[in-house]
Amino acid sequence: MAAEPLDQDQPGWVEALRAGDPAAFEQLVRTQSGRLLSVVRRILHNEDDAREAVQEAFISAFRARAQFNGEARVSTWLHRIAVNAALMKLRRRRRQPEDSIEDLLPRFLPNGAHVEQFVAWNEPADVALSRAETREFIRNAIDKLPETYRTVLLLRDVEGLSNDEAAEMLGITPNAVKIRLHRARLALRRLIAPHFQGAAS
Amino acid sequence: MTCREVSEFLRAYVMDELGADLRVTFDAHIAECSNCRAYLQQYQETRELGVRVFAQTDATADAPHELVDAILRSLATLER
Repeated sequence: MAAEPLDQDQPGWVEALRAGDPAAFEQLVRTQSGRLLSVVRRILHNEDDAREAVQEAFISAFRARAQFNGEARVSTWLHRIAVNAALMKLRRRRRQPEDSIEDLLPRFLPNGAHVEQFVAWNEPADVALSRAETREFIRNAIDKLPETYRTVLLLRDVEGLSNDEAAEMLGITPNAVKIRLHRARLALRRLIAPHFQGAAS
Repeated sequence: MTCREVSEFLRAYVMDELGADLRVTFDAHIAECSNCRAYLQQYQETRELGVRVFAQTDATADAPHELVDAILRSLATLER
């Protein structure tokens, strides 16, 4: 079932959803499950967990249906619920001791100057991402980030949540989100740099 | 401002959250330091790559039929 646009603008649709109309929910499940599965797969590495998270997201959405006011797109509303379901699963899972991010951060001399020399990457992001191999490389690099940082980068940069939304979902302060996001990007830069330095001419 | 401080302010800079005074000293450092200019460019591109690297996966996403059926079954039990 390919993701299709929802008839959210059709009269009565939001009311049907809020009333728990089975047909409205069936349409949601049929049109949105694939997209939501892609979303939770990015957060969870295990396919069974990802499928469970999508199922749990629809159950949560059904239970919270009265809170949907039609101001946001229903796809956005479901997206947030699915991200939250995936995060809850991630939290419930046994945490392994996390690698430190320090080794992936920039290094400085005592006078505050960079230890390393940098050269701007020549290739714009859209050109680089037109190659499947580069997309795969970057996705793998994101997976290598320590969990705390990977999650924040996914929520903010990939899923497009606001700083406050991410803070609320993760149960941390907005300022902590900013710090983690910054370190996550610095670390990701280091992980992907070899790929782009090779491409620089 | 040192390269280390520039690195710490990169996020605020690209999000346009730097105060006016900091922005002036940040820009002054960037204007003189080619290494920090290159680092800033790499940081911005890293962010953009993160934002766009999954962009194509969602549009074509299909859910397995058994998942769709399982969700519909579990919703049906809630409706009762």
